[in-house]
Amino acid sequence: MLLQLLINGISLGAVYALIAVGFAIVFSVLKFSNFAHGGMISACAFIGYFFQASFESPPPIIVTIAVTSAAGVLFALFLDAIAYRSIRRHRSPSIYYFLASLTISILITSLLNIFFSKNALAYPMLFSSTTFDLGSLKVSRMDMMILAVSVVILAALMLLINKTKIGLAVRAVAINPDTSKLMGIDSGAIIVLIFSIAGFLAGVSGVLLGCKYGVYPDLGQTMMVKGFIASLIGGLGSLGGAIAAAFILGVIEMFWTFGFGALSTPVMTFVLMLLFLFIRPQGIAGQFAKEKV
Amino acid sequence: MALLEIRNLSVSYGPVEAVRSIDMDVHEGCITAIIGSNGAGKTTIINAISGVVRKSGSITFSGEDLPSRSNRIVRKGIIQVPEGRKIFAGLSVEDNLRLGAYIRKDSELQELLEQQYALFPILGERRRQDAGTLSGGEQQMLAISRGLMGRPRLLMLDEPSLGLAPIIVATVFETIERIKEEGTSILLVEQNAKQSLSISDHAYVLENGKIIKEGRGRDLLADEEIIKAYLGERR
Repeated sequence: MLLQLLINGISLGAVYALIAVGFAIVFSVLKFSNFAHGGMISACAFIGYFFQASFESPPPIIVTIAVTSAAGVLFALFLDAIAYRSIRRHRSPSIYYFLASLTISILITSLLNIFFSKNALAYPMLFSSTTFDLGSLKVSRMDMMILAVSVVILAALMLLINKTKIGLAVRAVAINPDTSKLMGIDSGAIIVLIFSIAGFLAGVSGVLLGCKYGVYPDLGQTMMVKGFIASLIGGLGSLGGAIAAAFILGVIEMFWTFGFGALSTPVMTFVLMLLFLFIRPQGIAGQFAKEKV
Repeated sequence: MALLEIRNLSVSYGPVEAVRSIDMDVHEGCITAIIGSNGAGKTTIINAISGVVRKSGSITFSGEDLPSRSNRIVRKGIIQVPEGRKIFAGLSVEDNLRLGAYIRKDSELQELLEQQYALFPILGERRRQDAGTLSGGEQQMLAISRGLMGRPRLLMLDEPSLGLAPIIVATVFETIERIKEEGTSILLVEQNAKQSLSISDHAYVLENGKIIKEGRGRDLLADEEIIKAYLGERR
């Protein structure tokens, strides 16, 4: 049973990690909490659902994920063009980004609410049987698919950021966008890239969450809170910290739900976040409080 | 024709005019210095060349107008080593240098790194260390070295001696002369008038956003007014 819970927790943590990283990557560069991410996830979940449902026999889920994440990137570029670009051009403080993203998130969710009911739409069945046996364990195929997709994408993202030239430029812009320009880096283009990556991640997590929980307008908002908490516990802006915290959060939630029921789980999650804010505000990775000189 | 020609340059911050219709030439293979007290507008001139602040007037580099965006100006071969060093703390020494070579091809990177480690052995020893843990002098060396990684035709140094111990300051100025000998033109902005005049081929004296004097570094060192205002009366 313990192992079963652990596996389920890790798979839950994997989705949280995707959301948390989408959050953290924007925070690391622009120093604001991108609440538009939740709206993006909802919108992408719907896009993925309708793409999947438009076929007589649904395409492999990986095709839907690819199409939806491409749509997520386009969506992010659109938001950048209508909202964020002018903030950047006027060199306005980050609070404007924050307000714009919050507004966008509420706007998207409200729009979705007009067109769709609050009842969840279910993705077509992905697997003929929902579980497979691993020794004495029953493992959900869906959870394993989610875990596999998340791990591949997180690994690719970490490689991009930590091992490539463009990734180094991203890290430099995160530390100091003005000095980065003196290196010949187009800081504006890097910021657009960051939003695109966040859009891509929203696309992937939208489909995965839609598969797991069904598609409804508040899906992104609800789940984003978990991603936000994970990125905060991980240390705002730290990708590695966010991923670690997301997996820990997933496992803890799973065990808590088993022991004390689902009703009190959100309470536990927020108390955990508060504890971190009091005791270790810089998070697991400890970068938040480190003001760069 | 000078390498860099500045004509009628003015820069304002809101209603405050920081630099007022300045003409200035930077010649190839020379050290050109701008000296002046705090707030005279020295950094503003460098930032105008780098495209960091909005300007009026014209700046040409090898006879061509400069692009407007700073990252494009860097690609033209004008590289600024900013005041306060502005190294990327949190990244390793080597990653800082790689960023300096951002505009170069990947195939050049290894050779450029080896050149810099030969020039600054201390950076080679600390290549894996967080750049934020270096001492002030080492950070200044890193900042200069990072600037050289882009193979500049014109290297602009903004107050490289600021906040450093006298013995380190001497090293910094020696380094600047060595860079010039290797063929890079230099524009040096300094409050340390004595040291910078003694190594510069040509110098401008800036006061309240205007050039009040120019000439060969050596001549200005002997100039009565300059001695009074910037070098202390007794020498």
